[in-house]
Amino acid sequence: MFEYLLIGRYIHKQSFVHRLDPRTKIIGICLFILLIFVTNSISVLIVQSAVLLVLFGIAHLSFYFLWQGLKGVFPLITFVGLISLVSYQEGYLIWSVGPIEIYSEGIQLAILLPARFSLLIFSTSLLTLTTSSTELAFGFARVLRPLQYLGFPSEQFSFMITVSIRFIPTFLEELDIIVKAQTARGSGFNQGNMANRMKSFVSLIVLSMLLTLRRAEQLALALESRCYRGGVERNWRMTHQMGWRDGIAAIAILFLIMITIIYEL
Amino acid sequence: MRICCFTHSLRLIPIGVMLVGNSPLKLLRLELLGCCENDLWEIRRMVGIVFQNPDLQLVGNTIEDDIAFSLENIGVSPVEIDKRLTVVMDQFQLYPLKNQSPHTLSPGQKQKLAIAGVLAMKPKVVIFDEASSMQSPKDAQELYQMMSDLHKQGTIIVQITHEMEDLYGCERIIVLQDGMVKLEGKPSEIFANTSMMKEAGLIPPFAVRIRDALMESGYEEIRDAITPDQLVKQICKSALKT
Amino acid sequence: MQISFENVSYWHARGNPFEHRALNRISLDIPPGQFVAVMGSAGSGKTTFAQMVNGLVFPHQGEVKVGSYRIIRKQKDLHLLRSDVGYVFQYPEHQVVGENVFEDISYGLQRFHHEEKHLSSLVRQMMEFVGLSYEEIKNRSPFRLSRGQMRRVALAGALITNPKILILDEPTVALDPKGRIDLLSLIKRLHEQERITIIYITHRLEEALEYAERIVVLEQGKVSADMKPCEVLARLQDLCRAGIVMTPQLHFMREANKILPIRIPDHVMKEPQLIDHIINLFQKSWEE
Repeated sequence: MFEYLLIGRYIHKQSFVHRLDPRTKIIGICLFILLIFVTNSISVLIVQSAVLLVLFGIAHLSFYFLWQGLKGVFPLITFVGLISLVSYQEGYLIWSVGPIEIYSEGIQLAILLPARFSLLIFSTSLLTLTTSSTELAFGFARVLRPLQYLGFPSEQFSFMITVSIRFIPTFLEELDIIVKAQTARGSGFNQGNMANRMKSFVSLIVLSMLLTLRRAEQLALALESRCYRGGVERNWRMTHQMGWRDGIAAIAILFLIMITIIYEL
Repeated sequence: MRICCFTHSLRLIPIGVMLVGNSPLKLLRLELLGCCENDLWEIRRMVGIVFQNPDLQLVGNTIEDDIAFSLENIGVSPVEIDKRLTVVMDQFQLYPLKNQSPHTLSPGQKQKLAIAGVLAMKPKVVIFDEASSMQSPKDAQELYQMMSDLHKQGTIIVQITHEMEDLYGCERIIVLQDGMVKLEGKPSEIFANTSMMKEAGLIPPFAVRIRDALMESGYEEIRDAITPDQLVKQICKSALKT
Repeated sequence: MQISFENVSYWHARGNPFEHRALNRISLDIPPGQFVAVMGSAGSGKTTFAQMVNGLVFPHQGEVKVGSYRIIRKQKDLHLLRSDVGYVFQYPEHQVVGENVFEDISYGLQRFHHEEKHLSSLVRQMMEFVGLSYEEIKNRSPFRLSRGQMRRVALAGALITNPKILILDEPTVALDPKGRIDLLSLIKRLHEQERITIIYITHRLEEALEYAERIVVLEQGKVSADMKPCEVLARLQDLCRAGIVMTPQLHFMREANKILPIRIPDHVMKEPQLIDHIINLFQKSWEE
């Protein structure tokens, strides 16, 4: 069931995107996400989606894969879209039936929000699909290093993020097994009334959290035995240098930012 | 030295605590490790542990990254890391998989990766804490072969296990019960008297069971046979004797 | 309930870069009441096969029938199949559905709308059958039990709906030898008393030999061998090729038969029989 989710999986290739410095990618994706949420116009979102598609293509990631990923998040974004459609009551009334009233701003939001969510998920996926855990660890550690002077444990924080990413596929596999195990016992994920289904989902979440916590405990022990010392500076096997590719990427990002700002003003 | 520790009840000894108090691992004697009791991190470098569930030891997003993780932690230089990576990946036939994610590996390969990560640190002692119990019998066999090879190269091996069939390669067996040492000795000594083993809740291996049953029926000449091959030899000798 | 697989194929993550074929045109029939051991190395398709019997996955090609149910998405009331097919997963923590042991075991009865009047006496009966103390642990959280106890709770929970088929996915993994023997004797006793179909997935040949009536070996999604326990010695090569390890007893029998004047017959599989046979051997050869 969860085999179609993209986040957390690294696919090793030698594309332009793969070879960018991890710092460039992290900062670039963060800026991109910022732009997504700052934009209020649908046409700019379309441009941003196009940029993302192009990046996926440059990274040699198949579009079919992307489509499968879209199918995976489809229920979530539809849900978000519907909620905003009926609950946002600004602008002028377009249609009403019974207690449900749909306003013009509601329609715009119903397109904007799901689009933003999808772009958020796909841009994060692009980051993790093209950047290995070690590169991400290096990238986060270096990008957040200035914060260390303010007392923020950036080294440990970035390690925490990259280990979490490593465990996403494992977590999803386990979730799949739990769903099957509970279905085998008669839990109603796909049938029965709403109350039953909610109960099943709640029990699924509680169980997976419990198991994750147990796993975390055992992992901490293993990390200690592998000499991980928390805040102490680690020797990076591979340090990265910025190159001409990062220059091009920086220009592209600046260009995108300019377009967005111009359009918004 | 290769020691097998049999625990009647499953107990994980945290590596920080293991050289203190009543732990049986005090037997290892600190002089062997060449460091003092307070230098916990040095101890952890010299004593590697391979746990039961390999998934919970692997933190890299690729195989290469995972093995390199321990080395980065102990401050090995990048050039040396690359050297050790090549050696260890060749040893475990992981080189073709070096850019793959750990979660795509089979359980046996995951355990090999975990061991590779431990061996890259060049420890003096390796503890296998029920490392074969979540593995298939075939992978477990390969694991035991690996332990044997490591032992021949001079590493001290401590194997914590329930499995009786695979302790023939040990030099010394320690049987624990309720946190205390109940039995200690060479395999031939331990198997000479299996009543104490049974008291500790352990079931003797196949060959020993057959030998005991035959001795009970009066065939004393079988006494020395403790492995299946020795059993075959002794039985044939007895059957063919004139 | 008859189980039948006809030319069944299944792919994991179909259409994805991570796709791989788990079952490859499998055809197999399991008559009601049979104790079948399903063996094979990791990735051979054993778990997928078992999950299909419970309707947890659907075949991409071919047909699977369990009793009167066809295993397809459109099958009406497929969820009711699960009261007739009990499934004990490899790691019992994945199946925990209740806050305490009592709730967890009785869950199946409540879900399938069985008679709720005698709930506590049914749960007590089931716990006693699997060897757990009702009073001591009925209010304990399943996570505060030992591994062996958790497995028994999982077994009780699967058996409480009186299933006609029981699937056990490597139930003895990470158990100590004594725990393994206790659990397996329990399952054997269950089979003898109730004559339900048992599908027992395992890596361990000694378990299959000791307890099963039929051994099916899967290799890369295909059935590579289908035999009775007494045929194992003659077909050791098929098993080794599929990645299954010989037991010490089989190794002993094979080596002994190369040298001994009187062969140990292939069907001598249980230890007491083997010991008697060896003693007879001694006496006969000394008489000569």
